[in-house]
Amino acid sequence: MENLLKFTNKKLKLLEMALEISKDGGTTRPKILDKILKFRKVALIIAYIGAYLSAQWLFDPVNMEVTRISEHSLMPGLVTPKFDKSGIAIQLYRRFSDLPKSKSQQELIHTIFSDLGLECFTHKWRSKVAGNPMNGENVYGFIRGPRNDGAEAQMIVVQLGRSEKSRRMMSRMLAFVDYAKDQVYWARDIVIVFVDGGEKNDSIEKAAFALDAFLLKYQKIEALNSKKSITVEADEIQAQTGALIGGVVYDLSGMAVKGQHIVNIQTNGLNGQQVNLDVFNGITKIADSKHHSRVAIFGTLHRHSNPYMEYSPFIVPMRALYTQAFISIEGIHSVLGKYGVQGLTVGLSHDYSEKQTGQFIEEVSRMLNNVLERLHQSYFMYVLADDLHFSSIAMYIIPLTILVSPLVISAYFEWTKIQEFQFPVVHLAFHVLGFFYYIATTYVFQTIGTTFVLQWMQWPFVGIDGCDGQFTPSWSLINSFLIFFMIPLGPYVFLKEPVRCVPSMRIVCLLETSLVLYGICLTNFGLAILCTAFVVPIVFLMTYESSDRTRSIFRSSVLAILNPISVLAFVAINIPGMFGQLFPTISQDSWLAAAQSIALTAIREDVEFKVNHFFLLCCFGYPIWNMLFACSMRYGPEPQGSLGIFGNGSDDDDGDDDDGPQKTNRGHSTKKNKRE
Amino acid sequence: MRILTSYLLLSILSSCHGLSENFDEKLTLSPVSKNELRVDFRFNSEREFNRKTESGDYLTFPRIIQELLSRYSVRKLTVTMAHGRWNLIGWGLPPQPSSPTGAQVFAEFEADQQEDADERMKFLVEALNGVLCTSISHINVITSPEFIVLKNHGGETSVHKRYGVLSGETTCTENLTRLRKLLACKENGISTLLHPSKLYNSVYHSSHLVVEQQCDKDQCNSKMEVGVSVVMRNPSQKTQRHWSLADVFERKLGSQCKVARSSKIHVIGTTGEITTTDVKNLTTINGEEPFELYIPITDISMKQSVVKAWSSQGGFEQKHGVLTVHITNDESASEIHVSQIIPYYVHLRYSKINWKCDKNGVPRIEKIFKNSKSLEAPTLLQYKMKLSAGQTCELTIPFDKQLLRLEQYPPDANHGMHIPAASVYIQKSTSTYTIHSNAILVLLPVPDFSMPFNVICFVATAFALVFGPIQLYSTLWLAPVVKKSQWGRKIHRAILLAIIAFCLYAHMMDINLNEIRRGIETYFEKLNELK
Repeated sequence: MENLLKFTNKKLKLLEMALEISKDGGTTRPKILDKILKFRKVALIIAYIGAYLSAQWLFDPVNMEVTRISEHSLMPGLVTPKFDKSGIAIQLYRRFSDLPKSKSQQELIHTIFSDLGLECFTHKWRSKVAGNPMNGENVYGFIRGPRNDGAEAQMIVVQLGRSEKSRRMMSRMLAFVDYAKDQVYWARDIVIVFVDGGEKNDSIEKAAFALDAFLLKYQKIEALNSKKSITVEADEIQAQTGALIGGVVYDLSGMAVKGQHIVNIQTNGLNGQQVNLDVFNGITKIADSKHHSRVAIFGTLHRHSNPYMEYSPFIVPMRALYTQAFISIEGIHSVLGKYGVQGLTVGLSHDYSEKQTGQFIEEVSRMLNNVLERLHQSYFMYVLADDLHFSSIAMYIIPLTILVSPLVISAYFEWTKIQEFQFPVVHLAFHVLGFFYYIATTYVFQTIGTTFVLQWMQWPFVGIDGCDGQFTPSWSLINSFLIFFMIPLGPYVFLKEPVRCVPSMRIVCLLETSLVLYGICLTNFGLAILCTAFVVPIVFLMTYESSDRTRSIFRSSVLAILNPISVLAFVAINIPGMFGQLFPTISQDSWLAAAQSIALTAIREDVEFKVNHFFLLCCFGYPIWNMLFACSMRYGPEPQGSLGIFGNGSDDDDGDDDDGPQKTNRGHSTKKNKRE
Repeated sequence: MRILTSYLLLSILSSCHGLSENFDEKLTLSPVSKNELRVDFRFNSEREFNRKTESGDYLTFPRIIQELLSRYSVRKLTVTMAHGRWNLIGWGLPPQPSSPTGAQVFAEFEADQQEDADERMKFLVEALNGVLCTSISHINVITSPEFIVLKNHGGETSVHKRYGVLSGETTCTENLTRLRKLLACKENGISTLLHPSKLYNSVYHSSHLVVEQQCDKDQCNSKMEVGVSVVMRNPSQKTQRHWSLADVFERKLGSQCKVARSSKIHVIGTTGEITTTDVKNLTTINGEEPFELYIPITDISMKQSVVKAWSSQGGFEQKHGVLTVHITNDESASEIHVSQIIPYYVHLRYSKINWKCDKNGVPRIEKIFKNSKSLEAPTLLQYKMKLSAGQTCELTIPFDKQLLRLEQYPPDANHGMHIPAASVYIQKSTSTYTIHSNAILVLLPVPDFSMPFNVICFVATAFALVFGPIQLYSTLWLAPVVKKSQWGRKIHRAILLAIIAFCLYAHMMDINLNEIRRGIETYFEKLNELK
């Protein structure tokens, strides 16, 4: 009976119990991760092979996506061009040619616009950047679409100049203006800007700056931010139209070979921005179907349409990546993206007749006139292989992921070993120092110039040559920057004050590098992939554990040479033969001149156009390079209790003979040691 | 003759009930340049009647309009529709009432409460959609503008005013057809020249309907004006000394409007002289011998100087932007009233709104801000000031763009949304008129699903959120545990349920966070008052 009662009570208790979901298997690490860690030593080689093979497959035009027009309203086939003012273009060309030196082109354009009954204004601008002073005068006019309400507009840009090509382009554009003003179908106004780029070699950069000054005022950036621009001083815009939907820069940089016209198209903007692929496609289709012209991108024709040269299918994608990475101002259009305008440069064939040029411009303008919504349908992140094929971000990100994977695997390996994570304060200090270099250098370039002196009289303690309180001779900004930037501060700091927790430093270095590279990839794939190709092996090898002192000294010495600027100078000197010159002004045989040119270009573009190369160099390149010394100099196991302790038997599994924590027994507390 | 007799009989019958109706039509042709011709059609109907003795007969006045006036107690109504941009410099003073691009409605109601007027406006807009074949249901309506917006809607304070603009509305032949149906003579007289394909193939087109009703006790007077204004470019498409009506309208005037009290065609000459042709007096006009008129190709020498206004926008980001309204006075001092409607999808930065003027600096400004009360109501900014001759002023309005709810975006969300044109009412010692600036297009932040990268991110996130718990719970096992005190859990669950219920309620009732915040603030204020 008692048993029965006990049994009943037990049953009742069981009934009172609730069911709760519990985890099965505890918190054991998935086995697959341990298997991946086994490949850590050969991860770099596997990654390189994998990235190469995947890139070869992805960047072969056969495997790429075929370009298509996503926005149906852009279909250029719907437009029948009717431009017929060739005579006007020829007359205007004569007027430009006969222009006396006492009269500027700006005045002539203003007169022509007034004769046509259109609004036209001049726009004077001046660079406030002390390191690169320049000034100029743009001219801009409007073709108002009579049946629209002026809420939207498209932009056409032409560079002023006295060369034959410039005169031809300007006269043809003005003939188009004469034609377009009489058309009633404009759903958008047209803003025509003649930018003043001067006559020198750097005219493209100056013209881009001139366009930047115009857009700064047109988009009312100063009114929006309630503060004046620190780089440019310019006249206010006297008349305006609506939101800019797209912009096209025209020149006659295209050519004709044996009667075959070649149109040269440039698409790269600042910081890896690219024009919406629909605009590129539309113009390519117009060139092909309406004018039977070939399209050259990055100065290269489609290899199948080029009967004069046989070259690798990878040459255009490689040039695309290289140009995107390092050529910030590819053309005047490059600054359009900074102001939210989808723009590119169309280099029309210089053998085009006046009529053909006018009709080409008409077709492109009417194509942009038809856009129903702002350009968003197609791709912004792509790599072109030719005028028909491209690879999108979804595809080209694969080789980068493979290349970065050794760093992530190494970081994970370190994480499995580490027992206590200590954030290295010196990591923060190096970033602050890098940021200080960035701020100080750009400040001096912006306000003082390329040479500066130290002064006592007033804050800030830098000034121009001959200022009150000068107590040092004048120094070159570029050389000073190079000295500070290229002296490896890491060895001194880490010898003086060794890092207590090297595995933590390794993890931070590896993860930061991976994140920075991946972050850059989302905006500028060319820069990311090229940096990855150089940076990943350096970071991987320098953060690898070492028990050998000689090896540590050797690799630290190599690291000291592999300063980011040194690597860039090496690339700049050695690659031009293949891709074209990186910095046109540098002398090819001087390493120092290359370094100076790189630094000057990076600083100038940062200050003038907000190109982020210099920022990345100072705020990430410099700190990571210095912090790597903490990992590369380290050899043997770290003192016990202060650094990583193997949490499990993974060290046994990976068969790492070089690690030697067990062998050297200099403080590494392994699981094996614990057992002992 | 038979028709005339029947009209006469009707008139006699009508006069017995105290009813009198008149219809006038007028066409004005004025070259504004050697290549452009301005054409103004004006059709005016008038009806006097006694409320008590009215028999419900309508001769020339459209019955539907009278019903609108009576049903919604409308004192005055102005509806305009325009397409294109009025060139203030080249063409001078715009046709009055001035029309911004798109549609505009101004109504004055007799009502006891503001709410009644709001409701009547809502129904009136829907009724207008039917009468004029428009689609202006989502018009941004403003409650009672204080300063004058349109010339014909003056400072009368005893009525409830409602004003709205819809910049994106397009006008087409359908609207013209419906306007034509309101006329007493639809097939005869000047209305035969309302040839849609010619009128809409122009550089500027605007049409308006102005209705007014005034009653003195039971005796009422209703007026209606239907107007169409067009600027055509080189209508003849050939070089000649004169343009004919056939060149301009591709039609000739082949008949008279018998019921019209007056029917006139004015041609403005070089020096502003007016040549009038009274169509009623033409005896020969019929289908076989149509009337023809020649307009001299000329540029008007006496262009009237007008105040100029234009709007522009700054900022290209998806976060914020700035709207600037520029106003330049003409050669004499003027008092101006500036009204700017700001729709709900942008939020103003009130502290940053400012005026900048040249010459004598910023004059004394009276301003009125009317904040939006409901979720989708716009904000109204109104300013009144006196400008000296030739003075230019600039109103800068910074704003933040809003990320809207999914259902608030139009189908072509990436096209952007309009901020209506500013209305500028000008008062001079000799004349008053209204002009409008241009509308601006604001590109709002839109989640863009056309980019594969975005799709990957969204799909991966959704997949992780959905698949994660499924995978987790399908790999767990159930273990029995002894039931313990579950009060804490119950409270926790109750709180969670309450939050979910509140969220659902807020969603269903379209309550936004600001309203909740305001509600909490009001609640706390009440608590403080209790202390």
